[in-house]
Amino acid sequence: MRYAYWQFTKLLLWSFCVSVFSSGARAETQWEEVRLHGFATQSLVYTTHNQMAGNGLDGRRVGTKMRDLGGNISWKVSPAVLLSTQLISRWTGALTDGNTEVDYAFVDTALVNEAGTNIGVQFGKVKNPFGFYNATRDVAHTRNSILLPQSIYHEQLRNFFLSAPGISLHGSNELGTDTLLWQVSWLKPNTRSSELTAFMVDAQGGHFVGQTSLLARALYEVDGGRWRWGLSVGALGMKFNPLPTDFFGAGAFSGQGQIVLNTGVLSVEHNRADWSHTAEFALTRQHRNGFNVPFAPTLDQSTTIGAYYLQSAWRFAENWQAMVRYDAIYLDLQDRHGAAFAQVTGLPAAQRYASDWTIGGRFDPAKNWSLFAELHHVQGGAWLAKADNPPNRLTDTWDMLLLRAAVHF
Amino acid sequence: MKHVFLKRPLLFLVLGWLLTLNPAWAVEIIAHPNVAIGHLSLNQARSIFAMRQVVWPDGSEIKVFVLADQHDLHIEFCKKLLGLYPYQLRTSWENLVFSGMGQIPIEVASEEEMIARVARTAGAVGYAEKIGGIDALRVLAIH
Repeated sequence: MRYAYWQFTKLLLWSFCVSVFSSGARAETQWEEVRLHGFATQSLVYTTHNQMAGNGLDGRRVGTKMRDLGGNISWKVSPAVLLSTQLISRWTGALTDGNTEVDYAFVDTALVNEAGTNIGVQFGKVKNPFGFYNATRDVAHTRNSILLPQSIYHEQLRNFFLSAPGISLHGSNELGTDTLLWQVSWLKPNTRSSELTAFMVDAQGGHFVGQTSLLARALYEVDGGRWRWGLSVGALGMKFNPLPTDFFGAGAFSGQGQIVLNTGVLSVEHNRADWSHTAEFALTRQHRNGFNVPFAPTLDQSTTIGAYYLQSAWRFAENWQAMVRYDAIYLDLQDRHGAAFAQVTGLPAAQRYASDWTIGGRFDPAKNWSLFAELHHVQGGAWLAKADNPPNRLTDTWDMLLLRAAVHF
Repeated sequence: MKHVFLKRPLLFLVLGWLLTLNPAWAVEIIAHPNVAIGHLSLNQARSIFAMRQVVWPDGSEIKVFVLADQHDLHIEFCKKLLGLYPYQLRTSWENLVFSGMGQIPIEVASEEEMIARVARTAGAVGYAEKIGGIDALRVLAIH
């Protein structure tokens, strides 16, 4: 806890220095080539059942452990070269405790800069393009809800999908009044997450190691973005290194399991003056092999995960928005409500699916401030953090109220 | 006695037409005089203000100036010249800034500051409507 406060204090001091510096940087000087931005959020969470943001711990009903601090700096060394880095510190229930991480740090070099065609390449720890929101998923004011649709942007796979060391080729092409934006990344996904291990193999001792993977996204924007169509595809691999002495209590275990996620997301958005309608559909084929645990055959069972959401946001007055969303995920489309899984493993069926109705609102009282509120009615717990919700305490039907204040510069 | 409009219909039609064309009343894209082009396509203009295109055809850097999202002139510029809503530009900028892919335009406080900054910054582009008689600016039409 003391460590968390130290991290928090350090980031506050750092943000203060950054904001003082950036107000100076806004003056008309050569420092316009260097830009600084930052953000901070604090949320309050109440759930009727299940735990979010540490709200079930110590008998507390309202969870406060959902906060983010982040800051980035970019330096345009020349018209063709940009250096960028962002640090993030997050608190999310039992999952993260304010550790500061490098979100991204890369050099971006323009290869082609002609009228209508731009191509660039990035080296370093790059952000992964995936769906509409992955690249900015931690930045509250870039969206109209507190939680992103968890079916596609769920927390357990956040680190795995967020950013990774690699190379990324990206570009844009202007086609009449339409625009094609694309990005292809070769990377080694980040697997240093106990939540990823829990999501993939439940409570097993060991860790995953990322394998060279490919992610790509194309966005086609019609008439300046009135319609936006997107297709993201990825082939992401990871290998499991079990602890040598214990695996399901089976004693010595030598098999190294491997999981490859072949994933695709189709995204569509329609933007009007007062309304934005958004939908994304994802299919992920998990290929699993090599675990060979006699009494846990599901570890080697390949499944297809299906997920989608439909969302409408209404800008009904200046600085005010309302949104409604339906969001669903099934971890095995052949066993949508987990009945077969529960029978084989004895674990709750509810951890295999989730459907979530959300209504919410956002108010921006000032240029840099946003206040959010939203209500969720959820069936299932597929995207709940297992660290917060051990299987024996998972409840199928639950409601959640979230409030959030966010500031950015 | 006949009304003056009926006596001179053509004169008033022409006067009305001239009023609607008066450049002092319409928002236009302005650039520093060293910018070596005279017009932009609609998508070029969108791409420059969305910060996707960051250099002019001669390879020099584009410096983009804008007013605040809720400034009347910014709203008029987005809707009439770019055919976009201000929130769409804002979304593009936020996505660039918080994924490290790019930088956002420099925000100025008033139209007067916009004109002054564009006039004295090499490679600058912005927009304004009160630009009659300012020689230190190039006006870029959208074709």
